[in-house]
Amino acid sequence: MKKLALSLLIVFGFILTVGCTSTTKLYVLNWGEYMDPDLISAFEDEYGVKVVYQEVGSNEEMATLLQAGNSVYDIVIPSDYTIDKLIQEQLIQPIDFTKLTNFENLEVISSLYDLYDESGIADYVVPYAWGTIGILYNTDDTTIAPLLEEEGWAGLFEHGDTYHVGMYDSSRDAVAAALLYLGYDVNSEVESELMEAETALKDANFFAWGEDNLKGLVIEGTLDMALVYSGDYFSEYYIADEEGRAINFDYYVPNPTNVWMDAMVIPSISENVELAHQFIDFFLREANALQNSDWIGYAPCYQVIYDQMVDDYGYDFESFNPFPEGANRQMYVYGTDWRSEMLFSILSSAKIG
Amino acid sequence: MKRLTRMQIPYRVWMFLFIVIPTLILFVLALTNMNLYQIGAFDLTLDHFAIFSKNEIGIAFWNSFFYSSITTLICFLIGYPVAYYLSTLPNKTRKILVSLMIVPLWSNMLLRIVAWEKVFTADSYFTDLTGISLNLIGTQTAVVIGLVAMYLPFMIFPIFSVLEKMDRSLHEASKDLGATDFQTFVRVTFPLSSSGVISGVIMTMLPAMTSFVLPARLGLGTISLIGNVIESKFMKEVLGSSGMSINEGAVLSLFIMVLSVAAFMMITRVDKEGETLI
Repeated sequence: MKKLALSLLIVFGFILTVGCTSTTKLYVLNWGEYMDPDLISAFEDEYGVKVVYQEVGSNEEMATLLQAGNSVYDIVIPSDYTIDKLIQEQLIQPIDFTKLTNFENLEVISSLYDLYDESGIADYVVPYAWGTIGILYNTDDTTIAPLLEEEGWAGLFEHGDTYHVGMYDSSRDAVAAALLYLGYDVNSEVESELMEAETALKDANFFAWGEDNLKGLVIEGTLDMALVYSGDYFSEYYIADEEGRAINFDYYVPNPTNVWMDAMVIPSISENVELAHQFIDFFLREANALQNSDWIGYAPCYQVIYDQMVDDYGYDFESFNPFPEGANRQMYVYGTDWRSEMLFSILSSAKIG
Repeated sequence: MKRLTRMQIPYRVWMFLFIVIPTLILFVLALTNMNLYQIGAFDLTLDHFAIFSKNEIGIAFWNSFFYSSITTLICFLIGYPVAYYLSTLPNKTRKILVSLMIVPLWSNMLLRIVAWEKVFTADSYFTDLTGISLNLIGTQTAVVIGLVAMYLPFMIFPIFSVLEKMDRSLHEASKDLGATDFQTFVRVTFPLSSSGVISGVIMTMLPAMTSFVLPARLGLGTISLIGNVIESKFMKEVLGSSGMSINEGAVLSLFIMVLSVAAFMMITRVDKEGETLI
């Protein structure tokens, strides 16, 4: 019995010492496979801190975790419209740009800056990566590329009887695609325009409603084309390239389209605002930013990094640039709660058909 | 004996923390305007029940009922003969066959769904092996086959466990008294196995009714069951509607819970010792 008590004591003592070490912790909430782990270790070594890294699969999950307020986060990397909502709910705080010594060295790509400045989120964000929504299609069928080239969004919405078309099972993206197809603004709050979008989604006769399974369905040939995020395309492209597989798919970016941007933000509940800024600044060092962007493979938000990615790292394929000269690009804002509810109801009735 | 009573404590604490409290929260959410993420003062309201009037909810409930009924019927038609056959086998063979049926249940359900997804595509490994292209992905048939494959064991085992324990001399008696094989089955065997059948039906129908990953993957999101609606209410719609989608989800979940409790009360009426439950 004494032995047992002694060993219990040792175990508890061990747990206590591990649990209460004086190492400062930085809590990071991010998407899966969206930050080079080597850089996280490098940051830990340099600052003598521990980074507690948590991955989630959607903007909604990030917002939910912040709303719940059960656990502390110091850095979160959500997307445009979610950031907008988080600001409205006062769940994130403005960035102190004077603490980011490297931010000025890296100029944010001006066309991107204009977009998110217009959304009114510029004081709260440090851009992380950006891209487009567009159409992933299977190139085994050679009729699709010319069709999309000629018709743009109509290619996705008007040929559900001939082709198997997939749509993103997310209210904001599905409705945005329909609004773009109809020639309206992605953030339209006009009821009649939204109703038209609903009709367009119903009439499109989509074969599948999915999320990250859409890309796989296009590549294996179950779908001929589908609405995807540029990131979906890039990741599949890099995997196929690495494995030396023949690439039987391509990504078409209609014009106009929506631009998404993920950005680092600091939650209001952060207990380590100073360190959070240091973390952001660390990822803004030119070498680190470049290494991280190359690891992720999406378009970086800073001109210097972007140029090096394209010139030196071989990211020179056509759709890599989310905002080519002369293109028309828009960006989601959260909008009103009325609109959000409207979007959910449009999606559920569109799926019924 | 006292020691044993003390050993219940962890179980009771567990039940309280992870079953009683969440159920209470579900009740509160369904019947009030409490925001799950900003818990504060709240008022009683029946507003969330208005969700039942929505077209898509009606369709989702109908789909759930439709798919789970078909699944249960097919499971019964396949499951009963299998259970009957198993019960007639010698002990050793029976054990082997039963364990063969249990082993697939140990693999992750999600993996089995993904496997079906692959098999159902037009150009799958299955096509390479057999030359047959099923090309069923996204169809109702795919969802039904998937559901049957997933829940068939839950039909077989309860029926089997009743048939296995059935007194064989009753059959002999029935035949001695001049009944044919068919009459023996209809008038003796089947009525005696009805408790197993009812357990089997409930244990197939309930999970089939509330499944949501399977219809989303095998039906390619075109078939919405009530589970899909609840998932969307809790996971996807939380940003809008100031969190009230969760309360609507709670109403739907509660409705399903009431159905489940009613079903289990039925099981306990026909099978007082719960021997058909696994």
